[in-house]
Amino acid sequence: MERLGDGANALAWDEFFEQYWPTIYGFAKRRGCSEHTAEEIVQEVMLTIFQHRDVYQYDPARGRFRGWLGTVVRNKVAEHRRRPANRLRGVGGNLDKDSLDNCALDQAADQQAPDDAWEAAFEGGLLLALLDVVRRESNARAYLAFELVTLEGLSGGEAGRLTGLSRNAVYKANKRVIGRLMDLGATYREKGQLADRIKQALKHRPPAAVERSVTAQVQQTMYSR
Amino acid sequence: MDQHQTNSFSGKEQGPPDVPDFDLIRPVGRGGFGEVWLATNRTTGQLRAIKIIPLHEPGQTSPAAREIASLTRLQANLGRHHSNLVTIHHVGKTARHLFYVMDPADDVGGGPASNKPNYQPASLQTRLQAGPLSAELCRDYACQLLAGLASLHAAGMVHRDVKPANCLFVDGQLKLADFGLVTEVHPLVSRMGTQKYMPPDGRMDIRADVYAAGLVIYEMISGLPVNDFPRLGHQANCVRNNLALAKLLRLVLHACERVPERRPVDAQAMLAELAMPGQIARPSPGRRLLWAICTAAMVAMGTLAAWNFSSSPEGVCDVSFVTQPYEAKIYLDGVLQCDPKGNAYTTPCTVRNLRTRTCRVEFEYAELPRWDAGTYDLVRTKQIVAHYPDQ
Repeated sequence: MERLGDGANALAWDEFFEQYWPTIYGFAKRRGCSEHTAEEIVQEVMLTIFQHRDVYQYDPARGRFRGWLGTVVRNKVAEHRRRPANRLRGVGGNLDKDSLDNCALDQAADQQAPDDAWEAAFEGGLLLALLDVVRRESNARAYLAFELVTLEGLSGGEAGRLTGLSRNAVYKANKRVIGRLMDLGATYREKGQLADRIKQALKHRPPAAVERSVTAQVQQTMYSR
Repeated sequence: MDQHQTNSFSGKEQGPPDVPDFDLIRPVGRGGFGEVWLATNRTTGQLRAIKIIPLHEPGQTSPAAREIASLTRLQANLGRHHSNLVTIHHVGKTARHLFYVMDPADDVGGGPASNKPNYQPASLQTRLQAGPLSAELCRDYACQLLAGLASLHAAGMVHRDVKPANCLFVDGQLKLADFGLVTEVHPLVSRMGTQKYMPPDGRMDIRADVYAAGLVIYEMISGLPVNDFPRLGHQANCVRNNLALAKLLRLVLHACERVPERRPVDAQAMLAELAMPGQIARPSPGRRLLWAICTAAMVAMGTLAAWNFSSSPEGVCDVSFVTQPYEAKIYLDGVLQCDPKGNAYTTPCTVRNLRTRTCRVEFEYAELPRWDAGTYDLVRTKQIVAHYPDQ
């Protein structure tokens, strides 16, 4: 956050955006927002943080960063729910895409407390960030072997056919990548199966088209200021 | 070339730049250092794309000077035009700009280029916005991209900016564009290009083009942004069930090896790998040595054959001269070099049919004293680049 205080530090903003936007998007989706609404929320949250970069002073004693960010994101989602246009459509009973979106929003809100949803989204985002670190560190064939075997459920032989590795090399690569993930995310080990948790996080990963669209929109908004 | 976002000229000038014989319609893209405009030929009415690069003060290291040098190299080295490279019809200069005239890309909505207001040039980047391509298209586009790149590599050139935005579609055919960073193969080639497509080792040689081409093919297969390499995500199942995609994926993994020496030697080798029937087995260490010896022998034979086929008649050669500032006269062993009509050659240019010999090269620019660029063996030199000593 200190680096973000310097508005001209584009690299810090890029890093911040890259690390947190999937979490924000994932939370909005978990709360039942449509892709379009979730994109808008990402954009608004990033803009709010950018505007408050001089005001916010990070003080660990006052709470964790995730809590502060969670508050900003939850408020934005709530703002979207309160908007007159959304309410009118909801009350009027026009079952267009947006009103269906609002219905889904309400149902999701009933099913899961916002704090829990934010914690789940944040941890999912962290796990995806760890996965990205390991992906960049690893040899491409080794990482792909892990993805195909552990996340996609392919056999070692089939993963070998696609990656050009022997079956034995696939198993070794897979083990190595999982080991590295465990090293980096030790706290996740006690909370359940790592592979299952990654699969869960990947379910909420934004699709490539959304990634392109959000990245372009946010960069256009931020760099024009 | 990236989609046009801002008009960098319009802020500085009144209206579009003036280009002889052409009416500029509107900007449709941005290249490395200039803008691409859609234009019509005043005489024939033909639609063309014109890249315009502002000229800077003579002597400054300007994008225009670099672009001129690249185009000169391209013209000198590329024996004949390749159908998977964008055709450059004309290169010229105005008082303030360098420009070159090319075929316009097809419309992103389908059909040929038009001067309709909603025309946008179709590139691989615009096609990838809709997600991954079919197996047939992946293979077809990969072959076309590699064929264009292979023609550059065969001529001893490196593109240095291979990416989807630089793969344009003209009459439905993929053509590699933007030659602004093209250079000759040299161990000290500087690190220029698009960061995301640069290899981790940072060596911008032919194997850097191979690496970038691998990433472009990855994007076609996966539909994911290049940052996600080597993730396959939802495409894993499609790749698993399609032999052509599986083969392309193995080619991608080979081309994107971190260690440059493990990558295919050039785009032609990638094409050959793609044409090989069946699965590419990784040879055992013993067989790898055999392969290496066979490959080395084949490359040596190929080079020898290519040399015999392409080298100029004995005793004569073509040499490109590039200087900063350009428009300098050329002296070889003190003799001013003139074209058959008796006009002095001025840089940048390619002087053809020079007698092969070792000679002293000097340049003379405007009123400045003639400067000595050194002694060169013309048999071994395809290009001579020189800066005025005070620059």
